[in-house]
Amino acid sequence: MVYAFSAPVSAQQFNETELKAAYLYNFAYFITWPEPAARDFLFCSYANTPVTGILARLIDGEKVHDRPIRLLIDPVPEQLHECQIVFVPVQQERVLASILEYIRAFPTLTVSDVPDFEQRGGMVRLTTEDRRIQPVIHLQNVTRAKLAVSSKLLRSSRIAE
Amino acid sequence: MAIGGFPKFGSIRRKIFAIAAFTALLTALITLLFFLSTDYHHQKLELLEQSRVLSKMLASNVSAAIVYRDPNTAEEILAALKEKADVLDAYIFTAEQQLFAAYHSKNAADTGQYTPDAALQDGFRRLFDGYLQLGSDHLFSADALDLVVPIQVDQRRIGFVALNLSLAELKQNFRYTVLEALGAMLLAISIAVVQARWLGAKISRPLLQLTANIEQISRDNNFDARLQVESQDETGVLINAFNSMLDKLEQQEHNKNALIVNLSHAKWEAERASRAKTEFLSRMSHEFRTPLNAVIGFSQLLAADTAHPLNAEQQDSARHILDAGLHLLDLISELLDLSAVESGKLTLNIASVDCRTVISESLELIRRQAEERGIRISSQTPEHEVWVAADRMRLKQCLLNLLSNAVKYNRPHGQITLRVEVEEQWVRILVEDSGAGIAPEQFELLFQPFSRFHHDQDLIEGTGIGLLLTKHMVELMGGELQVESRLGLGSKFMLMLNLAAEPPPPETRS
Repeated sequence: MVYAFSAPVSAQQFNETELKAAYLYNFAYFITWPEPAARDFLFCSYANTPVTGILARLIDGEKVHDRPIRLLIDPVPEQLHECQIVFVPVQQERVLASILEYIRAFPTLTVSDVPDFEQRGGMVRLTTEDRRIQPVIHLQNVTRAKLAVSSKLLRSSRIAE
Repeated sequence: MAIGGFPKFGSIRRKIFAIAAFTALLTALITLLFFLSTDYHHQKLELLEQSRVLSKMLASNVSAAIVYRDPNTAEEILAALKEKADVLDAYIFTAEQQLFAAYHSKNAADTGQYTPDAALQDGFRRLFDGYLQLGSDHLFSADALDLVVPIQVDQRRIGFVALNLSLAELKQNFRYTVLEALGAMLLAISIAVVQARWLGAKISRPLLQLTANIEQISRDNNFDARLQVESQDETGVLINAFNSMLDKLEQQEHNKNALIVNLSHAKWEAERASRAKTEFLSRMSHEFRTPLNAVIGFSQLLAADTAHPLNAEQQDSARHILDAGLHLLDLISELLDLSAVESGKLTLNIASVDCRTVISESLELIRRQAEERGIRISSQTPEHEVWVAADRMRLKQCLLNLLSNAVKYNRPHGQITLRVEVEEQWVRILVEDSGAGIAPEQFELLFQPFSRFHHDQDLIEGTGIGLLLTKHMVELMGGELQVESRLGLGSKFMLMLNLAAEPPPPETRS
């Protein structure tokens, strides 16, 4: 029997930006990429969101499956396909379509907090509901890019059709 | 021996039984203790290992829930623990050791084992700190196992899972194991006991059989019997040894019996020969007497016939014939007496006899014979009457025999001394001569029939049965004949007779 969870710890100590950075960072561990070409695990983000700064702190010196993590801020479109994860903040919404277009054929996880991200071809949207940030995962878009999402992550996410 | 040995055989069986039972019991106990302690330890380890695996699975499954701040999912995952009854409580803590999700089994709440949440959580926090510092991830208490397992994403620790497990099931299992082991032990011991009885019987049965056979054999003296050898072990060896001993006994028994048969045959032959000899002597003596009586009678008639008186030469010849006939009659009488004595037919008429008159009569009869050889006879007899228990006629015969020997074996012009000694019970009549004497080695031959051992024996007439006859007759009268002699100094024969009471007056003149 499960007792009521009386003292939730969720968003008390962390603000939304910090949580988004943490969530973004942890996708590296719950997503499986096809065999990588480069040695480094490359995060790509944009300087116009506070999330990037926090992410830079989080990933400093960390590794994903023994691959050192590197953060690429404001990548040029030609660099986008080298990224394993691309975060497109809502501030970057105007170039969203072109970014997605650049990486369509590559196994790059696209994450965003743009409200209709998954309808526009994105893979993972970070949504805020009841003061709780939750990943919304569009499985078709993810699998089309030959990526696999851990069931552990799926259990704590919402699945979009 | 066999009766005394019987309980010992029983005790071999008992000893084997005791040894086997003791060994079985000891082995079973040691094995049981070892097995149970090992098993309990092993069960605890197994529970720990299972719980570790379970916790690691939980830790892996809830990792995303922690990362993505999803306690509901975490509790759903924990809820699956209701399938595992011995998990009383399960907690998930964040890296900051704050409670993230919890699970409590309904059992724990219902049975009152539910520990207040906060105390348990603090316990887990301490356990986890201990794990981080010392590496020990579990803690066994009297009836519970506490276990913590870190939750990791890649190398990063993001929290830990804590389980509180009941040991009730383990203890119950252990009780079943104890019961099973005890059952197995009892089974093993009973098998050992049965086997020991069988083994004991197997060992003692041949021994008991052997004992029974030995008793049978010694009771029946039947050495033909042989024991069956059923096994090649020590009892078989024993039985074989016993059988070979029986072979020897049988052989010896056979030899002994053969010897007995031979001896008894020889004895029978000897007795038959002796009887034949006695009978022959008796018959021949008798047959001799008839013609001899004619010789004696007619020679007396010749000498006494006044109608045709013989001249001096004829008279002398007739007297020779008479003397020789009488002598021959004496010899034949002796032979008859001897055969009568030897066949037990001689009957004596024992009465109180005054030995002085018998002695003087005997001396009178021998005097002429002694004088012929120039031998002087001196006699010392008591003044008064000496009564002895004897047959008068036979006593006289004995005395005459001793005196005649003393004359015959004396040297010419020798001497004969006759004395009578009276003691308390005995009367001793001694006849001493001054002859050649008897060598000690010849004493044994003295009383053998027909043995005459003087070198000049051919010159002395006699049959050699006189002494033997005397000895027999004296013994029949309850007396004894002894002899002392020294070679060259003469011999001394002692005739001992029982002293008798004086008879009533009318009886004495017989």
